[in-house]
Amino acid sequence: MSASTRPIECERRPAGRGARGRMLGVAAPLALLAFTGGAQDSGGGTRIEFDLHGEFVFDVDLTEDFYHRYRAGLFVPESEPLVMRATTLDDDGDVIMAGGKYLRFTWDQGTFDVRIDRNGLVVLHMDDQAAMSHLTTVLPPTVSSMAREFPEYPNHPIQ
Amino acid sequence: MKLCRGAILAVALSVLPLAGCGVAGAQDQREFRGPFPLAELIAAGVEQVGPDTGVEIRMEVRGADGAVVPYALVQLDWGDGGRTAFQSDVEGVFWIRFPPFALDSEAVVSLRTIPHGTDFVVEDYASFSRPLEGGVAAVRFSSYVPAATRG
Repeated sequence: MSASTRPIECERRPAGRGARGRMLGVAAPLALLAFTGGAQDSGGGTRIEFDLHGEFVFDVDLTEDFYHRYRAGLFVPESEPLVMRATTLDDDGDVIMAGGKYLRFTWDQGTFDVRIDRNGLVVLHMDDQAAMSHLTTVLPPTVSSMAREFPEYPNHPIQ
Repeated sequence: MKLCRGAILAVALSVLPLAGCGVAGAQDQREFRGPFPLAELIAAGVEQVGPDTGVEIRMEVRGADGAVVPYALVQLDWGDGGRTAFQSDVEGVFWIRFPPFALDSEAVVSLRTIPHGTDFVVEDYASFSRPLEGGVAAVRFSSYVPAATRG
Protein backbone atom coordinates (compact mmCIF):
# COMPACT_ATOMS: atom_id res chain seq x y z
CA MET A 1 0.00 0.00 0.00
CA SER A 2 1.45 3.33 -0.97
CA ALA A 3 1.85 6.00 1.64
CA SER A 4 -0.72 8.19 -0.06
CA THR A 5 -3.41 5.58 -0.11
CA ARG A 6 -5.91 5.91 2.63
CA PRO A 7 -6.85 2.58 4.13
CA ILE A 8 -10.40 1.43 4.07
CA GLU A 9 -11.92 1.72 7.48
CA CYS A 10 -14.35 -1.02 8.25
CA GLU A 11 -14.10 -1.16 11.99
CA ARG A 12 -16.48 1.13 13.76
CA ARG A 13 -15.78 2.75 17.08
CA PRO A 14 -17.07 0.63 19.97
CA ALA A 15 -19.74 1.77 22.34
CA GLY A 16 -17.54 4.14 24.37
CA ARG A 17 -19.09 7.53 23.75
CA GLY A 18 -16.47 9.78 25.26
CA ALA A 19 -17.17 12.87 27.27
CA ARG A 20 -20.54 13.47 25.71
CA GLY A 21 -21.91 10.33 27.32
CA ARG A 22 -24.35 9.47 24.57
CA MET A 23 -26.68 6.55 25.10
CA LEU A 24 -26.24 3.03 23.86
CA GLY A 25 -29.33 3.52 21.74
CA VAL A 26 -27.25 5.08 19.02
CA ALA A 27 -24.21 2.90 19.53
CA ALA A 28 -26.14 -0.31 18.93
CA PRO A 29 -27.27 0.61 15.42
CA LEU A 30 -23.73 1.70 14.67
CA ALA A 31 -22.42 -1.63 15.78
CA LEU A 32 -24.99 -3.27 13.53
CA LEU A 33 -23.81 -1.04 10.72
CA ALA A 34 -20.35 -2.48 11.16
CA PHE A 35 -21.69 -5.88 10.22
CA THR A 36 -24.25 -4.94 7.62
CA GLY A 37 -22.17 -2.29 5.96
CA GLY A 38 -19.58 -2.67 3.30
CA ALA A 39 -16.61 -0.68 2.18
CA GLN A 40 -14.95 -0.27 -1.13
CA ASP A 41 -12.00 1.57 -2.52
CA SER A 42 -13.26 3.87 -5.22
CA GLY A 43 -9.80 4.53 -6.61
CA GLY A 44 -9.38 8.18 -5.70
CA GLY A 45 -9.98 7.60 -2.02
CA THR A 46 -12.06 5.66 0.38
CA ARG A 47 -15.77 5.24 0.23
CA ILE A 48 -17.71 3.80 3.10
CA GLU A 49 -21.22 2.81 2.31
CA PHE A 50 -23.94 1.13 4.24
CA ASP A 51 -27.11 -0.43 3.02
CA LEU A 52 -29.94 1.48 4.56
CA HIS A 53 -32.84 -0.01 2.69
CA GLY A 54 -36.25 -0.67 4.06
CA GLU A 55 -36.68 -0.48 7.76
CA PHE A 56 -32.97 -0.05 8.37
CA VAL A 57 -32.99 3.69 8.35
CA PHE A 58 -30.40 4.73 10.85
CA ASP A 59 -29.32 7.80 12.60
CA VAL A 60 -25.67 8.26 11.74
CA ASP A 61 -23.64 10.00 14.41
CA LEU A 62 -21.07 11.72 12.24
CA THR A 63 -18.55 12.09 15.06
CA GLU A 64 -18.70 8.37 15.70
CA ASP A 65 -18.56 7.72 12.02
CA PHE A 66 -15.26 9.40 11.28
CA TYR A 67 -13.73 9.15 14.73
CA HIS A 68 -11.04 6.57 13.93
CA ARG A 69 -10.14 8.38 10.77
CA TYR A 70 -9.96 11.65 12.68
CA ARG A 71 -7.78 10.20 15.42
CA ALA A 72 -5.44 8.71 12.84
CA GLY A 73 -5.06 12.05 11.10
CA LEU A 74 -6.71 10.70 7.97
CA PHE A 75 -9.58 13.15 8.17
CA VAL A 76 -8.98 16.72 9.31
CA PRO A 77 -12.29 18.50 9.75
CA GLU A 78 -10.64 21.93 9.98
CA SER A 79 -9.42 21.44 6.43
CA GLU A 80 -11.47 18.82 4.64
CA PRO A 81 -15.21 18.85 4.21
CA LEU A 82 -17.28 15.85 5.08
CA VAL A 83 -18.77 14.62 1.83
CA MET A 84 -22.05 12.77 2.04
CA ARG A 85 -23.48 11.23 -1.10
CA ALA A 86 -27.02 9.93 -0.93
CA THR A 87 -28.71 7.56 -3.31
CA THR A 88 -32.15 6.15 -3.68
CA LEU A 89 -33.96 3.71 -5.94
CA ASP A 90 -36.14 4.65 -8.87
CA ASP A 91 -39.30 2.83 -9.86
CA ASP A 92 -37.27 0.22 -11.71
CA GLY A 93 -35.08 -0.46 -8.71
CA ASP A 94 -32.07 1.27 -10.21
CA VAL A 95 -29.81 3.27 -7.94
CA ILE A 96 -30.01 6.99 -8.61
CA MET A 97 -28.78 10.09 -6.82
CA ALA A 98 -31.18 11.26 -4.15
CA GLY A 99 -31.17 14.85 -5.32
CA GLY A 100 -33.94 17.05 -3.96
CA LYS A 101 -34.51 15.00 -0.83
CA TYR A 102 -33.48 16.18 2.59
CA LEU A 103 -31.07 14.93 5.21
CA ARG A 104 -31.95 15.86 8.74
CA PHE A 105 -29.21 17.09 11.04
CA THR A 106 -29.84 17.04 14.74
CA TRP A 107 -27.63 17.82 17.73
CA ASP A 108 -27.72 19.74 20.94
CA GLN A 109 -28.05 22.97 18.96
CA GLY A 110 -31.35 21.87 17.48
CA THR A 111 -32.63 20.31 14.29
CA PHE A 112 -32.55 21.35 10.67
CA ASP A 113 -32.76 19.70 7.26
CA VAL A 114 -30.44 20.25 4.32
CA ARG A 115 -31.44 19.48 0.77
CA ILE A 116 -29.32 17.04 -1.19
CA ASP A 117 -28.07 18.62 -4.41
CA ARG A 118 -28.67 17.16 -7.85
CA ASN A 119 -25.43 15.20 -7.64
CA GLY A 120 -26.65 13.54 -4.47
CA LEU A 121 -24.22 15.54 -2.36
CA VAL A 122 -24.24 17.36 0.93
CA VAL A 123 -20.82 18.91 1.53
CA LEU A 124 -20.20 20.01 5.09
CA HIS A 125 -17.22 21.94 6.43
CA MET A 126 -16.85 21.84 10.21
CA ASP A 127 -14.43 23.11 12.77
CA ASP A 128 -13.13 20.74 15.42
CA GLN A 129 -15.76 21.84 17.88
CA ALA A 130 -18.64 21.02 15.56
CA ALA A 131 -16.92 17.86 14.40
CA MET A 132 -16.82 16.55 17.95
CA SER A 133 -20.39 17.61 18.74
CA HIS A 134 -22.05 14.36 17.69
CA LEU A 135 -23.95 16.03 14.90
CA THR A 136 -26.27 13.27 13.79
CA THR A 137 -27.70 12.71 10.35
CA VAL A 138 -31.11 11.14 10.03
CA LEU A 139 -31.91 9.57 6.71
CA PRO A 140 -35.49 9.68 5.54
CA PRO A 141 -36.98 6.41 4.30
CA THR A 142 -36.79 7.76 0.75
CA VAL A 143 -33.01 7.79 0.90
CA SER A 144 -31.75 4.24 0.60
CA SER A 145 -28.07 4.80 1.07
CA MET A 146 -25.66 7.46 2.23
CA ALA A 147 -21.96 7.14 1.66
CA ARG A 148 -19.40 9.20 3.46
CA GLU A 149 -16.65 9.86 0.98
CA PHE A 150 -13.08 10.70 1.79
CA PRO A 151 -11.42 11.74 -1.45
CA GLU A 152 -7.70 11.23 -1.50
CA TYR A 153 -7.03 14.65 -3.01
CA PRO A 154 -10.02 16.77 -2.03
CA ASN A 155 -10.22 20.17 -3.61
CA HIS A 156 -12.86 22.80 -4.14
CA PRO A 157 -15.51 22.42 -5.35
CA ILE A 158 -16.63 18.97 -4.37
CA GLN A 159 -18.81 17.72 -7.21
CA MET B 1 -58.81 47.90 -37.25
CA LYS B 2 -61.27 46.52 -34.72
CA LEU B 3 -59.65 43.16 -35.11
CA CYS B 4 -56.26 44.70 -34.42
CA ARG B 5 -57.51 46.45 -31.26
CA GLY B 6 -59.06 43.22 -30.12
CA ALA B 7 -55.81 41.39 -30.59
CA ILE B 8 -53.91 44.01 -28.63
CA LEU B 9 -56.47 43.84 -25.83
CA ALA B 10 -56.24 40.06 -25.76
CA VAL B 11 -52.48 40.15 -25.56
CA ALA B 12 -52.60 42.77 -22.81
CA LEU B 13 -55.08 40.73 -20.79
CA SER B 14 -53.02 37.59 -21.17
CA VAL B 15 -49.84 39.33 -20.08
CA LEU B 16 -51.33 41.02 -17.02
CA PRO B 17 -51.55 37.92 -14.85
CA LEU B 18 -47.98 37.00 -15.73
CA ALA B 19 -46.80 40.47 -14.77
CA GLY B 20 -48.72 40.16 -11.55
CA CYS B 21 -47.01 36.87 -10.73
CA GLY B 22 -43.64 38.44 -11.40
CA VAL B 23 -44.27 41.26 -8.99
CA ALA B 24 -45.56 38.89 -6.35
CA GLY B 25 -42.44 36.73 -6.75
CA ALA B 26 -40.19 39.72 -6.30
CA GLN B 27 -42.07 40.67 -3.16
CA ASP B 28 -41.72 37.14 -1.81
CA GLN B 29 -37.97 37.31 -2.10
CA ARG B 30 -36.00 38.74 0.77
CA GLU B 31 -32.39 39.73 0.70
CA PHE B 32 -30.01 39.29 3.60
CA ARG B 33 -26.61 40.93 3.56
CA GLY B 34 -23.52 40.25 5.56
CA PRO B 35 -23.57 38.14 8.70
CA PHE B 36 -27.09 37.99 10.02
CA PRO B 37 -28.74 36.10 12.86
CA LEU B 38 -30.29 32.80 11.90
CA ALA B 39 -33.20 33.69 14.17
CA GLU B 40 -33.88 36.71 11.95
CA LEU B 41 -33.98 34.49 8.87
CA ILE B 42 -36.32 31.99 10.49
CA ALA B 43 -38.53 34.74 11.89
CA ALA B 44 -38.90 36.21 8.41
CA GLY B 45 -39.90 32.78 7.16
CA VAL B 46 -42.39 32.19 9.96
CA GLU B 47 -43.88 35.59 9.27
CA GLN B 48 -44.47 34.55 5.70
CA VAL B 49 -45.59 30.93 6.01
CA GLY B 50 -47.15 30.96 9.45
CA PRO B 51 -46.08 29.58 12.82
CA ASP B 52 -47.65 26.14 12.59
CA THR B 53 -45.63 24.73 9.76
CA GLY B 54 -42.01 24.13 8.90
CA VAL B 55 -40.06 26.79 7.06
CA GLU B 56 -38.26 25.81 3.88
CA ILE B 57 -35.63 28.29 2.77
CA ARG B 58 -34.19 28.58 -0.69
CA MET B 59 -31.09 30.71 -0.50
CA GLU B 60 -29.35 31.93 -3.63
CA VAL B 61 -25.90 33.34 -3.01
CA ARG B 62 -24.98 36.34 -5.13
CA GLY B 63 -21.91 38.49 -5.25
CA ALA B 64 -21.76 42.25 -4.96
CA ASP B 65 -22.36 42.49 -8.72
CA GLY B 66 -25.55 40.48 -8.43
CA ALA B 67 -24.09 37.46 -10.18
CA VAL B 68 -24.70 34.02 -8.78
CA VAL B 69 -21.72 32.56 -6.91
CA PRO B 70 -21.35 28.87 -7.73
CA TYR B 71 -20.35 26.56 -4.90
CA ALA B 72 -20.49 29.29 -2.28
CA LEU B 73 -20.47 28.42 1.38
CA VAL B 74 -23.33 29.16 3.73
CA GLN B 75 -21.64 29.27 7.10
CA LEU B 76 -23.47 28.87 10.38
CA ASP B 77 -21.66 29.88 13.55
CA TRP B 78 -23.35 28.19 16.46
CA GLY B 79 -21.48 29.77 19.35
CA ASP B 80 -20.83 26.89 21.73
CA GLY B 81 -21.61 24.42 18.96
CA GLY B 82 -18.78 25.49 16.70
CA ARG B 83 -18.97 26.20 13.00
CA THR B 84 -20.65 24.41 10.14
CA ALA B 85 -20.62 25.50 6.51
CA PHE B 86 -22.51 23.91 3.66
CA GLN B 87 -21.50 24.10 0.04
CA SER B 88 -24.16 25.46 -2.29
CA ASP B 89 -24.72 23.94 -5.71
CA VAL B 90 -23.33 25.10 -9.03
CA GLU B 91 -26.12 27.68 -9.24
CA GLY B 92 -25.24 29.11 -5.85
CA VAL B 93 -28.40 27.71 -4.33
CA PHE B 94 -28.63 26.17 -0.90
CA TRP B 95 -31.80 24.77 0.63
CA ILE B 96 -32.35 24.39 4.32
CA ARG B 97 -35.51 23.94 6.32
CA PHE B 98 -36.49 24.11 9.92
CA PRO B 99 -39.28 22.19 11.61
CA PRO B 100 -41.51 24.35 13.82
CA PHE B 101 -39.77 25.34 17.03
CA ALA B 102 -36.75 23.21 16.09
CA LEU B 103 -34.21 25.86 16.86
CA ASP B 104 -33.77 28.30 19.64
CA SER B 105 -30.35 29.36 18.60
CA GLU B 106 -28.18 32.42 18.46
CA ALA B 107 -26.43 31.12 15.37
CA VAL B 108 -25.13 33.61 12.84
CA VAL B 109 -25.27 33.06 9.09
CA SER B 110 -22.54 34.34 6.80
CA LEU B 111 -21.55 33.79 3.19
CA ARG B 112 -18.09 32.71 2.17
CA THR B 113 -16.25 31.53 -0.90
CA ILE B 114 -13.36 29.23 -1.60
CA PRO B 115 -11.12 29.71 -4.65
CA HIS B 116 -11.69 26.95 -7.16
CA GLY B 117 -9.02 24.30 -7.09
CA THR B 118 -8.12 24.88 -3.45
CA ASP B 119 -6.39 21.82 -2.06
CA PHE B 120 -8.11 21.02 1.21
CA VAL B 121 -5.23 18.94 2.48
CA VAL B 122 -2.67 21.74 2.28
CA GLU B 123 -4.52 24.53 4.08
CA ASP B 124 -7.18 24.89 6.71
CA TYR B 125 -10.60 26.48 6.45
CA ALA B 126 -9.62 29.76 8.06
CA SER B 127 -6.94 30.37 5.45
CA PHE B 128 -8.64 29.18 2.28
CA SER B 129 -12.16 30.48 2.82
CA ARG B 130 -12.96 34.16 2.46
CA PRO B 131 -15.97 36.28 3.33
CA LEU B 132 -18.07 37.07 0.28
CA GLU B 133 -17.66 40.83 0.27
CA GLY B 134 -20.92 42.55 -0.59
CA GLY B 135 -22.56 39.18 -0.90
CA VAL B 136 -26.30 38.79 -0.77
CA ALA B 137 -28.44 35.85 0.18
CA ALA B 138 -31.59 36.10 -1.93
CA VAL B 139 -34.08 34.09 0.05
CA ARG B 140 -37.47 32.63 -0.74
CA PHE B 141 -39.59 30.92 1.87
CA SER B 142 -42.12 28.19 1.57
CA SER B 143 -43.91 25.99 4.04
CA TYR B 144 -43.67 22.27 4.43
CA VAL B 145 -45.27 19.69 6.65
CA PRO B 146 -42.55 17.99 8.67
CA ALA B 147 -42.52 14.23 8.93
CA ALA B 148 -42.72 12.81 12.40
CA THR B 149 -39.39 12.95 14.17
CA ARG B 150 -38.00 9.51 14.73
CA GLY B 151 -37.20 8.66 18.29
